[in-house]
Amino acid sequence: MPSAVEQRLSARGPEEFSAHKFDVTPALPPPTQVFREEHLGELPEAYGTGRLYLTARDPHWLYAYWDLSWQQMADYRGQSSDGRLLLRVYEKNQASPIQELTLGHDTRNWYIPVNKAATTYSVELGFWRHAGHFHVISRSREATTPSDAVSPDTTARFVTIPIDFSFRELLALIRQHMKGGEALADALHRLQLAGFKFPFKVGLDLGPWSAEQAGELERILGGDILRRIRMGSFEITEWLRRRLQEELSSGMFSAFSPGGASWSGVPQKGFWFAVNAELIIYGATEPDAKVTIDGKSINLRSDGTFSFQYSFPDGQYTLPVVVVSAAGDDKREVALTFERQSRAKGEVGKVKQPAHLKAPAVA
Amino acid sequence: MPQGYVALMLHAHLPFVRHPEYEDFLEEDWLYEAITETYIPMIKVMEGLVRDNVDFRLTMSLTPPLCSMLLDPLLQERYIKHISKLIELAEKEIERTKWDHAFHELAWFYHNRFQEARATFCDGYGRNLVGAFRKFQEMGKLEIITCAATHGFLPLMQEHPESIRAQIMIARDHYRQCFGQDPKGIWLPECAYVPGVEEFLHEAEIRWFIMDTHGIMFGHPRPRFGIYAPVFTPAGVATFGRDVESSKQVWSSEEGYPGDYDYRDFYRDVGFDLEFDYIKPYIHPDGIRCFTGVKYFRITGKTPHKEPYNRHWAMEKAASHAGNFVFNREKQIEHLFGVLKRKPLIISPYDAELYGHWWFEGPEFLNFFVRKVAFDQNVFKLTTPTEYLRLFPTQQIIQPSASSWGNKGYWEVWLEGSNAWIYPHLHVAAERMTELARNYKHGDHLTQRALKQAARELLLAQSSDWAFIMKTGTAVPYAVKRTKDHILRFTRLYEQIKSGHIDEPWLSSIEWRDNIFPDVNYHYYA
Repeated sequence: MPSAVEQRLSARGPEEFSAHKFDVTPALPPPTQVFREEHLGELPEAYGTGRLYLTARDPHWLYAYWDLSWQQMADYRGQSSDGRLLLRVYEKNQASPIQELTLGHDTRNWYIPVNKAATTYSVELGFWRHAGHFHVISRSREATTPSDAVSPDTTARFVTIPIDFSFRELLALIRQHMKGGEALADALHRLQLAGFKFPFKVGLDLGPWSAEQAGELERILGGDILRRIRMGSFEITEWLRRRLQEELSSGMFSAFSPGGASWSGVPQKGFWFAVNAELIIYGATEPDAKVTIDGKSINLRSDGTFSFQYSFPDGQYTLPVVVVSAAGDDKREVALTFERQSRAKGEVGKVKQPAHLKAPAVA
Repeated sequence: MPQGYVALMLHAHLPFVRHPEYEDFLEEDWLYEAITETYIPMIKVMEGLVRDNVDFRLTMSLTPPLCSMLLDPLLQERYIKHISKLIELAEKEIERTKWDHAFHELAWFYHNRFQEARATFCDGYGRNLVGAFRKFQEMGKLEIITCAATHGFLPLMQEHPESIRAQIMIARDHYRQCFGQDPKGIWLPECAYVPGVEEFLHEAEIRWFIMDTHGIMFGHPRPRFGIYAPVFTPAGVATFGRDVESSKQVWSSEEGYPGDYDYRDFYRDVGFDLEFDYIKPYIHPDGIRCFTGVKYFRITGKTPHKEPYNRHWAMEKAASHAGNFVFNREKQIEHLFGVLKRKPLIISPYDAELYGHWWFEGPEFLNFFVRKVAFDQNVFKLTTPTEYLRLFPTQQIIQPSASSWGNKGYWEVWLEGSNAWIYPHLHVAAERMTELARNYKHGDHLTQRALKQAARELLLAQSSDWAFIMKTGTAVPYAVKRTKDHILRFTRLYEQIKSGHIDEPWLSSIEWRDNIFPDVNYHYYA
């Protein structure tokens, strides 16, 4: 936390800088990293390939985006009869578009609500040349929205696939018996059911399965699936960020101010009063001299000034402050003695010391 | 005989961040923090378990970018500098807190911890932490699985299946180099699955992957045993679904263990708390305050007021939470065994960074957990997905459903206002990479170098971390810069290869910087 000691004091004289010893400098904007430029230039606004991309972002939304420059889009609009570029959304196996969307002038993407899970869509980007003729600039691939519900199909097929046989080995065993386009697990299942001999134990009998069991399992899983409790990598990052924001906004980090913001966030009930004291030893010498307070080395600022802050609990303290010149041939010393006693009437809280302070050794 | 099994899985990933062009780079700290706070503590836990003859099974995914960084000599050297500075800071802290007993004890604690980290890193494993994890795999205790080459978000690469294939195959190749065998399992980045991915896993002889719960539950037909058994995709690759109940206990911000008031508070770090001149040598040289890892306070409560951290209390809590976690798994498994009449498998996957970095006491919690599983109960055993499939090779065939473990369960985090702009650039670059791979199957040495580097630049641009960071807003300028730099470098390489005029000095400079996957096989893009 930047404190008064952070402020660069010019060596104008002791009375000048002692006036600044309590200054709480506002936090400077955090310095930013400087990236050395490689002179690669900027990313192009578009590559002009004309490609139309489509993805199903989740069960209810498609996202369409295209690689056309603004100029290309303006040209196409110019060629249209009504100055519009449109997206036409098709559901698979339906001849007519289910949506026709007019695109804004300043956009190269569009979120399309479809609200139908497990469905396959495609889109076209184009314009009307004249009534009845839609010119297609580009077609997207098909995209299928994910499922958002448990399947009603409760049939079950089981297959034995030993992990210590590679896929290549398994394929080699059954290749001649596979049907065209059949997937490996499907083929193995079919053959295992038919009694085909395998060089490993096949165990398809898994015992009975009842409606009660299914119901009980659904009960175990159901609530969570419906609530979709999902603590993914995003959520934990968000949770921790929120906590940081809470803590920062309570002023926790401005621990230097004489009031001691470290207690400011604690909710108090009713009338209250809290007090504490801190001790600052400060001075100046040649910038290259060595200063110790109570035997501890103190860093000098570049102008030779220094301050050191102690927490100051009740007690009696003597703090020797010693300076030795850089050459080592001149030594000066002063012993400062302090006493603090606290006698309270009524309930008086102790303001918590900022963490970075320590108390001087008891005399 | 156990009634069921638990597979605890840690996903250890960091994006490839390596900046030899700078002396210090802020974002490299992610690696050093993870080494000190997660990877070394986990290694120490496993060393202890082996030493004490405690049988255990854990699964870890170590992603290719992470392994590359852990094996990189420059980053290893920088880590030693980093941990040495922390040891120096701890020495100063010991001095500064002389009179304050609570903090003084902690300063010694950190000093010992940092020294142990350095000794483990240098002397214990000769700077090679990948070798450390490999050792535990070769002992049969730890199963290491792979992840996509640069943690690319596979469902958003569907426009270009060659990219998905390359992400999988290059990861497989890299795993072989790191671990001397083929990976049996994979952690798909963000558990993001879309039908078709398993075809490439099949080609790579990867036998299983992990999905989020709803990917299995919404599959076709309905999974008879829910998520408590793996299922086979029609391609023969198995998939395992995340167990929500055990995840929630650890991850939930409200109910989870890591929020306990006796655990160490993440944010009260001396990097922010201490006086600037004092802490300056230990934060970023540009004067940017950052986390050092020296933290003195416990969470204390829902209040900005924090009390000093008490290690003994925290350890007691960790032990108690581990006992609670074991107890809950016992009850869960007993109940499931009774219903299913077969031995259920509970998959508990987590980001590795949760253990140690975000939740400081996490590794000790795992230590207590593993020991309690071994000695305090006999309802369940620990296993790995591969081991479970070996024991139970007969499972249901299901076509799983597209899904991820990101917020809201699909792709929204990686495809929204802050980051959707990157995809047209990634798609065009991917298409161009395929064009290059098909048209330049052979070529002179310089062209080959350029083709490989083009693949590297594309892979690095495809890291899903950049989109994620843009969404969460934590280091956005850096993420944007990485995306731009890699796309622009790729584009320039593409143009130079096609024109036949490759700028060799420039190529050398980016080979030096973006040096992931030295032997990358660009033919996978063909």
